[in-house]
Amino acid sequence: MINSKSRMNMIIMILIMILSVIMVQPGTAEAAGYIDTDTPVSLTLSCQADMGPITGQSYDLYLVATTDKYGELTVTDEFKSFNIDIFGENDEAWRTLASTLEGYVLLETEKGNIKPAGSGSTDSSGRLTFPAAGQETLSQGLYLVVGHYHEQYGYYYDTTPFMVKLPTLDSEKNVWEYIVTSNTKQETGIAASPNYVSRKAIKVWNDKGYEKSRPKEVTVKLLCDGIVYDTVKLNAANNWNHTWEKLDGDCKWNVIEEFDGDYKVEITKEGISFVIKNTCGDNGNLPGGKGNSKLPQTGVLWWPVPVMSAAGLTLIGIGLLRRKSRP
Amino acid sequence: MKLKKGSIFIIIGLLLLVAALLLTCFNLYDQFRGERSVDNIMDKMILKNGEHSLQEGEIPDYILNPDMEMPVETIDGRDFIGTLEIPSLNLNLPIISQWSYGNLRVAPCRYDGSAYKNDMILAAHNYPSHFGNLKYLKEGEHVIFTDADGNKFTYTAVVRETLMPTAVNEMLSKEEDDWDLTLFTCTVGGRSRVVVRCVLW
Repeated sequence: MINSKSRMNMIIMILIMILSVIMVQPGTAEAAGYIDTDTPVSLTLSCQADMGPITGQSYDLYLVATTDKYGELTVTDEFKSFNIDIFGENDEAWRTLASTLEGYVLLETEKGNIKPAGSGSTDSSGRLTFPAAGQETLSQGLYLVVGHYHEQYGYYYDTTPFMVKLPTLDSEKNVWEYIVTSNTKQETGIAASPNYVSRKAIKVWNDKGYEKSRPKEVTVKLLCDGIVYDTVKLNAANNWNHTWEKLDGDCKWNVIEEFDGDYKVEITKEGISFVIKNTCGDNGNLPGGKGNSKLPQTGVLWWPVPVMSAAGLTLIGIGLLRRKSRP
Repeated sequence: MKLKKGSIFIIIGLLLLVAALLLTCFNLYDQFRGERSVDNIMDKMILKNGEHSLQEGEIPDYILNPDMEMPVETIDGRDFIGTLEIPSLNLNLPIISQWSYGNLRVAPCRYDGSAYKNDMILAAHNYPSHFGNLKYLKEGEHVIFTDADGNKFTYTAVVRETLMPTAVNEMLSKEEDDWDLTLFTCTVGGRSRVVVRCVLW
């Protein structure tokens, strides 16, 4: 016969067992598990325009960081020297990272200091797969995809660089995707001849509270297809910006910054402008307040007029009365 | 010579009347000088084309970098960040970049903030030719600030309030009302501040 205390213990045990089963069930927000580092990865680029597939457009793939089975990234030796923040994991951070890296990568590739992990051109259906037949297998990691300037159908196509992680986490299915397809984004327009464009470099300082750490000037290089076209200095005298006009529109233009110091650099393209943002410090807001305890006195001094007039008239009245009251 | 009884009161009373008259003349002259000052500056200002001078595909610098220093035009040794137009008050005034008591006697000044960050505060004397008629600016009426590059920012007046001279934090704060531009000047007595808050139209 089970007494009440034993019954209570049994109920508690059953509840603990039920809770344990519930807790080990994978929730929708839990990680997808470890990455299988032995599974080969591949990336297929799909390049489509309104007129049809973009064929024969060249792309390079650069390995920026390798990944372990936990998904943790380790920057490769080639990219360790870049003074950038490589670990933002949201779309916005990776868009900024890709646009920042593009210029540096093109320059270093031209110099022979960096080699792409893969190169190729799109086929008749506008697709390009890495690794291509005969090429080495791709390492698992974070890649930068850079497209070359291309003309077709009477239009030019300039691919927006982007980052892709191989394998990629499918957040809906909560699994690692080892075979990844990405649609490229293109900046496009009518391929005019001659085709002239303008480009502008604008410096933005993100260093509130650390303004005194800023250098007096910074050196910015304009690259045409990875080759240095021009070097300028940005400083307060030119409002930290410079515009190049009548540039060859058939060229892929980028800017990079030469900078020593504690600032991280981000380069984004907005319209024809390259915004070069340097970040320093924790960017916390300085204590507020204007340092003044009162708002400025912006009034014309009128109030003494009626006061003095009234006082003057009163005193004159008193004086006259006193004279009259003389015996 | 012995003064007549009551003379001292009369003399002091007359002195006070003279002082009141002198102050009145000085104030009227100061108002006239304030009006001439802004007229002279507006004659010298070179108005740029702003967005019309942008190249195709170019985004204005202040959108790419709202933290940038507002560009200035230097006239007679003072830096001006642009002009402020209030059509309903028939005002078109230059705005000095940094306030000081000396600058306030010349033209309205920026007290704090930036047009690019939607937190600019402008202060001016209550001369009729400056912000003296600010109290007549009605809700819904427009205020247009044009920066030194010719970029135009159009605002609508939404709130008028009175603040004490010690209300610095309230002046700067956006907790009570969200505003993009603030204008203020002294009340007639000089003891309070007439404040008009505006939002981007």
